[in-house]
Amino acid sequence: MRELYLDNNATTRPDPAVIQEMELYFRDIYANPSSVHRAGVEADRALRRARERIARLAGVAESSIVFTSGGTESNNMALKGIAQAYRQRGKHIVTTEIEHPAVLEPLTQLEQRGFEVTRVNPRADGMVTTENVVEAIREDTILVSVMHVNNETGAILPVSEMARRAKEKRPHVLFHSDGVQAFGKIPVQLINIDSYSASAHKLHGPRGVGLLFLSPGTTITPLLAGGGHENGRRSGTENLPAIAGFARAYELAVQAQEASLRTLSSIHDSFVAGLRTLGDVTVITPEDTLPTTINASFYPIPGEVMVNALSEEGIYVSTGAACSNRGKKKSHVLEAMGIAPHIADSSIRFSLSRHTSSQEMERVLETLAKLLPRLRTVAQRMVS
Amino acid sequence: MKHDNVLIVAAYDEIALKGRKRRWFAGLLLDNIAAICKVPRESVREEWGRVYMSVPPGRDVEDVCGSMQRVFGLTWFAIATACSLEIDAFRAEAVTQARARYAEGARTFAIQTMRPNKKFPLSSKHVEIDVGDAVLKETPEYTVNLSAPEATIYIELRHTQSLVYSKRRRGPGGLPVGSTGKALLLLSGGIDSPVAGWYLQKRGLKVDLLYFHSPPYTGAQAREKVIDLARQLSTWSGRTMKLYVSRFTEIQERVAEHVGRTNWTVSHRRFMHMIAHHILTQNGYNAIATGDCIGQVASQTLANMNAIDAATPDLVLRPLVGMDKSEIIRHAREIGTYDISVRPFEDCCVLFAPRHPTTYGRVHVIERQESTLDRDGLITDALAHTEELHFTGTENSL
Repeated sequence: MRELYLDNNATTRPDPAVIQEMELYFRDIYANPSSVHRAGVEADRALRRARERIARLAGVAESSIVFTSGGTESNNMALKGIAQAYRQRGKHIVTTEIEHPAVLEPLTQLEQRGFEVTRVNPRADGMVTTENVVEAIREDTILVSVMHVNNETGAILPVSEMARRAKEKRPHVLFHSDGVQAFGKIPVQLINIDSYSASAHKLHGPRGVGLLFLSPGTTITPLLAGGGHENGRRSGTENLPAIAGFARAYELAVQAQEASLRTLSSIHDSFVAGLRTLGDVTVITPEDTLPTTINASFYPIPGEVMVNALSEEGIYVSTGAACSNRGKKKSHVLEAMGIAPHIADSSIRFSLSRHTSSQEMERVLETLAKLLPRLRTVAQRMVS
Repeated sequence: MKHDNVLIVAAYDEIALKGRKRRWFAGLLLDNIAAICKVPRESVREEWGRVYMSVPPGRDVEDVCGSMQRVFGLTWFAIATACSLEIDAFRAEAVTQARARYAEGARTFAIQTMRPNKKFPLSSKHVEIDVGDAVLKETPEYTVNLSAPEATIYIELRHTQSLVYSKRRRGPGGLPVGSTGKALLLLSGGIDSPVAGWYLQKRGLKVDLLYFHSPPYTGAQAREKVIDLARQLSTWSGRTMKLYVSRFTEIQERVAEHVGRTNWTVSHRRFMHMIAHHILTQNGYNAIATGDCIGQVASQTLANMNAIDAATPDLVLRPLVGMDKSEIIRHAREIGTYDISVRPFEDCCVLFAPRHPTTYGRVHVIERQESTLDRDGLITDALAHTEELHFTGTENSL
């Protein structure tokens, strides 16, 4: 049975070229970039090269890149670091209901430290409007944090536009965006955006490395104090093999970006059309969506039953909203969109990568057509 | 302590000594010790109701002692130093061990001598007084306390050597696994059934396991959990523990069609016992066992247990009937299965759990509803989809 991995929003398979590049750094260029001997200088040169490669492709200054351990750290660093550094200006933060926990949880911690957070609701299709975000900004707002692409629905939020409008209203407001699901997959326009999180393992790079873009002039209080690496913004010996792998993965993603977005859009559209022929299926389709995420609900079949059934067939997907044996673990995203709980509990997420082919998605449709009648009969009996 | 004169001495229940089966019984115990401690069988021997193990070179004594704690049938064991039968030799060792115990905080002591070697020229009493005096001379701060000493130094005078030890550690008690029969335990992945498996093994049963999975209604995570539980339970076994993984999907689906909703749970359990019955007869097990205790959940009422037991002619053992949940949990923690059992995972077997399960399952009603099903066909099919995994105390061999 051929395995078909469709859980790319969770993590991706590292590209062989990435692994090959990393191997060099594990084997040969292993010195600490801070060391003064020749091996250290060579490692430092390699680190600078990796930073250059990413900066050039992203169109930012090298000094604006802070390498981190991944998306969670980048978001924590931005939110806590900015809130702490700018707390004299005000204590109000604006965000959305559909952010990843790596944004929502640090903000909850900030609330416990005296900050006030406004969470803007999405529309029923998963989009958050610029108007609603801008409206939530007050006199004492210091920071706005809006994700670029939602991990559960694929909704692409107009963050550049939001940042521009936010600054029109309050020039001193800082704008953070969690770009973990977007970076490398769609073009990013960082003008007006003060900080932006990215992670390597969502684009066929290694785990354990991410970055935060920080616009010139934005100061943060560092989360990790120590030897003063990354211009004093993030201490800790640089993870050179992973950083080099990240640079390679990003280059490959950007090179393929335009072509794969075109291909994936057509794969997405025919897959969604195919899903709709399978009878009672609810597909969440945001107005602007990344074609790599498809969230579909096969009520009354519980999401985890669908995940197991597809897993038996070698197709790996995720539940949209997970039910665990410790009670229902709802999806805060689908809930905020106003999706009925029974539909949310039945939803599953197909997340594709640029390597996913239309034949593979055909196979998913055929498998679903095979599985659904029996599962529907059983599940129907359970709910009736 | 020099390694070459260190050995582990252990004792088993006196009651077991009685009867004609003593030799066979002791042989099983030695086999189990060798297997669980992973030492060569020749390094373990039995003599006069005692077990002696010479710790193989390169093995850590404490590591072997950790394994001894998992050998059912042992009441206690100790790390002993072997000395000659010269009184100067074992006296010196006893004084050393007494001083070590003083350093660890003991302030009262006693010497206790056992003299299976009746040819030894001095009486036990004589030896105890002689050695006790020597201990007091070396460590005058010590007080003798014969009724409740903080440290007891044991001296065993045997035929070719003497043994000196001071710390008896409690073994798990019970009877050697394999000495009383074979049981097939229904393992669910919950907290209770692994504890039941421990108690069954404690009373000398060779236990194998039967798990029902129901893809796609139960997932790979649930199966993985049961595999880890089996591995943990097998560390007490000393022999290969089998885990039968049987496919229950079709039975659940058919039962949902043919049996009244309130009776689903009882009917599922009846089918599990019917499948167990076939494995039982084909493989020579003497009983089915479960982790039920009374009244804990709706399926564990006496009426429902009756309805379940009526499904097969087999003896059904339920070693946990008298225990409270809190006792079971405490025990599960002690035997290292609790953390595995409560591991969170996405489970949907609740899908087939009726909201209001019956607490009074009537056998004839359930029987009649089930009779509209092709019971034999379903059971044959489940048996055909049963895989067998083997566990040998450390890792699984597929």
